[in-house]
Amino acid sequence: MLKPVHFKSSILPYLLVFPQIIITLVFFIWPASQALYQSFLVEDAFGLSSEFVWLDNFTALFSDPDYLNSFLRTFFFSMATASLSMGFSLMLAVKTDRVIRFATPYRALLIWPYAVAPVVAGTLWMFMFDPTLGLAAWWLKTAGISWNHRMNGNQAMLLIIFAASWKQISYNFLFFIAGLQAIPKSLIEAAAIDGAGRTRQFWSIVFPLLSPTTFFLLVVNVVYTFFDTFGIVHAVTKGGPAGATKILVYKVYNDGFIGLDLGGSAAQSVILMIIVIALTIIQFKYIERRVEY
Amino acid sequence: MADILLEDLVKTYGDHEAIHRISCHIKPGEFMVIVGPSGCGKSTLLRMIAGLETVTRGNIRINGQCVNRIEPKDRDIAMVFQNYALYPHMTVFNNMAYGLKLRKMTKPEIQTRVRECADLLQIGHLLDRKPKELSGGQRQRVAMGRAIIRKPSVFLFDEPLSNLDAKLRQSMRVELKGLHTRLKTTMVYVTHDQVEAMTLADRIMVLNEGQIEQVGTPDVLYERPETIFTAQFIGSPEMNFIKARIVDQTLVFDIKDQGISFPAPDIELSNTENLICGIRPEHITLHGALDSGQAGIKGRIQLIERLGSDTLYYIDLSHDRRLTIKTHLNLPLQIHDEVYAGFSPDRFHLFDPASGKRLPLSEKIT
Repeated sequence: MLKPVHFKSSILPYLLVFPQIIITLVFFIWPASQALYQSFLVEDAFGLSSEFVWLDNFTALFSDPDYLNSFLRTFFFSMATASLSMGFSLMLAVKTDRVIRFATPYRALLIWPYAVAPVVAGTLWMFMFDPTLGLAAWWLKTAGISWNHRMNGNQAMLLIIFAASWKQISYNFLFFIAGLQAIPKSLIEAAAIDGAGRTRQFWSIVFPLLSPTTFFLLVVNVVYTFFDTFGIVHAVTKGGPAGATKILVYKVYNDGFIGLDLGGSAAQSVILMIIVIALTIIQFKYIERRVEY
Repeated sequence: MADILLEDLVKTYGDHEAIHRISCHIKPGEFMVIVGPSGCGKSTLLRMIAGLETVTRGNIRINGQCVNRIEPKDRDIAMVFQNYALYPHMTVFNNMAYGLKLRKMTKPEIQTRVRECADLLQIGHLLDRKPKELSGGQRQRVAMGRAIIRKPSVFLFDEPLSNLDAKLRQSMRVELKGLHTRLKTTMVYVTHDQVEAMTLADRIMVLNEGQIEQVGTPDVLYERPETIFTAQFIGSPEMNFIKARIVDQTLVFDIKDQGISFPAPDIELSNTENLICGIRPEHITLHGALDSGQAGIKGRIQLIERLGSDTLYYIDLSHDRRLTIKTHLNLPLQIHDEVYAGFSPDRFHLFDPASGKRLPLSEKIT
């Protein structure tokens, strides 16, 4: 329980929270309410007038196969990115947890990618896999794989999954390392004496005990893939080829600012907002009654 | 049942040597207690036997076989940890069955084994619970159950009772002793509590700064401590130490203004000026006044601790010397009363302060 603090003057506490309230109002509440309002409007092609249409934008979306397709694509992208990134970072965390010499520098190095902005990360991967310039694309070619993510939709999807996962590995790694260090060494030792080998120890003791961390990261990663991957998609594929990597958050931008369908785009962002609110509620509920070991 | 042989065992961490050339033979079926202050290396030694720490030099042999390079799981041992180390996500049943499952036992076999073992430890009604739903004493039992269920040839205990309250510790101690009598398995038990050591052990190994001070039965350690350290460590309250010297065949206590002397042992000592005489608190008598012909040291009562059966008197002898006296007599004495302490020379332990060793013939004082 936090202790209530008493201020002598009644203005001071309000003054102290004022900046935060302003930021929330200007950068969150206002745009969110604008989006909500816009989602009920249809604007004419020249942007001269708009008409209040209730839920027409939403019903139009859910009857649009393109939107539903994007939904499925996003779901696939999200699951693939989350599992790839979490699986890889868990492996790294387990490996570095066993390292004794130079453990700190290793960990510091592994955290660096998190400091890279999504656009930069995307650009990096784009260059590596560029069909004409990229080193990785050349390697693949010598291995007999023809790589061209500008033509091949599946390869494009694979590339943004890699870029998005790579970016998130550091974050996941950090939480997994913390989770691993919270598991008492004596449990592992007890398992070793009980007769479990390394692999068995991991799957029957370590992995179950990490489950709170894993669940937390799953939610965070899903939120990340749904909302923070715009920069990567924009830098690498621009949603292409032929909409193969047009995930929901990219479609919001594409429909609204390229296609200039402000109402439809606003409706999409409202749906995204509802998803993130739902995920956040799940997260909070779970954390509140989280099993303490 | 197995015996454990430690041969010139050394453990170093970097430049720091934690265990210095320890050699000891733990006999089959013996209850060996390793006791010492924190940081003396007793847990390290136990973990080396378990295989959780590597051996720097020397050998550990279990049943004659050198186990230095053998994995913990293949040493046929079981260990009970200080914090119990129960798997928190498993029920009591699964905690106990884990080791059996890994040894590919069949389900019905596991069922009967767990039942048997749970009945032995009276935890049959807890099998479906998770460790966090158990009390400290119950967790302790489960941890013990997890160890004995595999019927290993050696049990290792790492301060298993130190997280329990005093009363529970006492009753678990009795049960543990009972368990050993029933199972007759070799047990190595690490503790910092000399009472646990004295009550449980067949033999005690006193460890100090990575070296063995003495190995012996509780009686030997109490009656004939070989070093000042052992003398101090074993027995509660601590032994009294008084500076003494031998002058003209008499042992004289080095206490100002108080002449008291005892017949000295007839031994050749290079150094007779500087000795330490150890006397246990229960071997000093307390008198309100001295009878004629009785010798005693005068002092003042500083503090009285009544334990019910016994009473502890802390006597101030002037010049910052103090004596602790333990008696079961109920004397009509109060704080600040002037009293006399009486001694029986056959209970003296003489030590050389330079080496810390017991003087060879000191038990011959009469």
